[in-house]
Amino acid sequence: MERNNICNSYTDLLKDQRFLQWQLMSDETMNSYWKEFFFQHPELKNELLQAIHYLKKEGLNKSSLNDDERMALFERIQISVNRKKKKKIFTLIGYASAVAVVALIILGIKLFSLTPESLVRPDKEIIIGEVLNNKDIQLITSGKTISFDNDVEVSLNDEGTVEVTQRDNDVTRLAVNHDQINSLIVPFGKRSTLRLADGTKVWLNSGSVLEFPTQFSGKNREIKLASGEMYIEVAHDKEKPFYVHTPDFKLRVYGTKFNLSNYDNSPGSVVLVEGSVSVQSGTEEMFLNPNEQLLISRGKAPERQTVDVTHYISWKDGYLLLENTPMTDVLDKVERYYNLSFNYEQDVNLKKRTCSGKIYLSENLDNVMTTITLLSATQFKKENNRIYISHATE
Amino acid sequence: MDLASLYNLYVNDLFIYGCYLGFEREVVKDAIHDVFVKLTADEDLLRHISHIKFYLFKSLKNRLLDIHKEVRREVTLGNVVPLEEMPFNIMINVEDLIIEREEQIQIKNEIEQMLNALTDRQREIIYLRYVQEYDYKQIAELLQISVHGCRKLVSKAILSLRERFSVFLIL
Repeated sequence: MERNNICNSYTDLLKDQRFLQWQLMSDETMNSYWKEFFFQHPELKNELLQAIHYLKKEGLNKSSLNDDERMALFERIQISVNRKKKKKIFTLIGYASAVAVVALIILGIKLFSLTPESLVRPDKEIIIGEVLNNKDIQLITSGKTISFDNDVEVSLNDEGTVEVTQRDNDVTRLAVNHDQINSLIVPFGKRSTLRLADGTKVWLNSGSVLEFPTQFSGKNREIKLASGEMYIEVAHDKEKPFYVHTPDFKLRVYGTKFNLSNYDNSPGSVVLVEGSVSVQSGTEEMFLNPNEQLLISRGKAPERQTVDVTHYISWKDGYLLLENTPMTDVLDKVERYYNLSFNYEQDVNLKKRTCSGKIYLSENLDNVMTTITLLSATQFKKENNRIYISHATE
Repeated sequence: MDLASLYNLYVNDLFIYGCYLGFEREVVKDAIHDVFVKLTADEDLLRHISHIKFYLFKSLKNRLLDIHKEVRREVTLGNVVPLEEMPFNIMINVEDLIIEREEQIQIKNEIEQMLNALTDRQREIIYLRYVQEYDYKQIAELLQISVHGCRKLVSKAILSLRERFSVFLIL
């Protein structure tokens, strides 16, 4: 037992190879040895417990995830979960209505002996959409969450105050901590704009989460688009490079205007309008020229193509420009913008339609749906919270 | 248990495990996102899992391996690094011990020396057993090896440490 005379405290134990080995890989020999040791030194019992506790809980298992990161990740999970749930519920409703249609057909035949041709529109040739409940925009700052039920304009200034203007010109002013990372969560169906402390202007599209500091106090200016889509006009500042992080890639910005979209389930997209950006995905860094788009999918090499930028940034001015755009893409966009959930089977012919033209994203969903159906040669019907899209009747 | 409590309870452990397996922070976060979204997508699943934490660890590892394979396939054209060659590096934290810096470093060195004498898989087993308190059956499942193979790796570890540090127990 002599050797263990040096072990008088829990820190001594943590320095002792025999103790460490016993803890991490105990076998019979080690067990009986240490049992005997503590039997002879009962005064060291607490030191032993402390050493074990430290090793297990903090020494070998310390998470480097900070509170902000943890919160932001949870928000992201919640957004995805809610979206999925709505889709699922809707599949059920869709199924139920299909059953109802069949029931009607049978009734029709039985009661009126009518040819049910007008009713037999195969149910997969309908796309059904549902209007979902609206959620509030949330601004998380200094650990507090403030909700707004209308689109907002958020503006940060040098004095460390945040000004939030709602559509009805209701202004809320908040004092915030200088070093604070804030989050702005824009749910589906809402949009917001944001002016950062350096004068950079950000348009956030529906379903987006942006993390940004109150002040850019470090060497770099850094913000993070955790999910969603934004258009940004970065204020020029040679001294402080501007970085935009996303979960999948990183952008270095050299005084520019560009659109960045990174929704779940679709590839990340960077469209450069003006200036210069470089995109870092993995170890690769690629420079973009104006009018170029970079598509980034996980596990694939980034794809570069020349595009008409107006198609990608028109949303910030409240309209969609379409050119042979697949129906599914159009519905995806409308879904996010108005917080709807469209439901269609994989083999619906309707989704193969394309749209060309301009759709104003007005507050009146009926107007928007009318435009879509005109552009895609379809028709729609709205009942309560449900929208049915089908082939245009001759 | 609702999503928020599950998340708060296990997110740190999941994050640590992912990082120890050698993945970037953001990749681990994405994988955790996917795991929780999948979990809640199926309420039946939630009701039928008895060891929720183990289930989360397993899903996370599978998800990370999938991501790893996708990336690998791109880079090396089909040449995927086998599971047993994945890294496993335990970060040792001594900063929270309220003692002199010098003593902190000493403790860190001792633990590091010992862990460095082991292989990645041995470190992973030790972490799963000692810190996460999984049994050999669960660990074998996570490592995709047999229970016997798992035990063998541990006894090998004990032997190699005895040789290396000549830690002889005098009874």
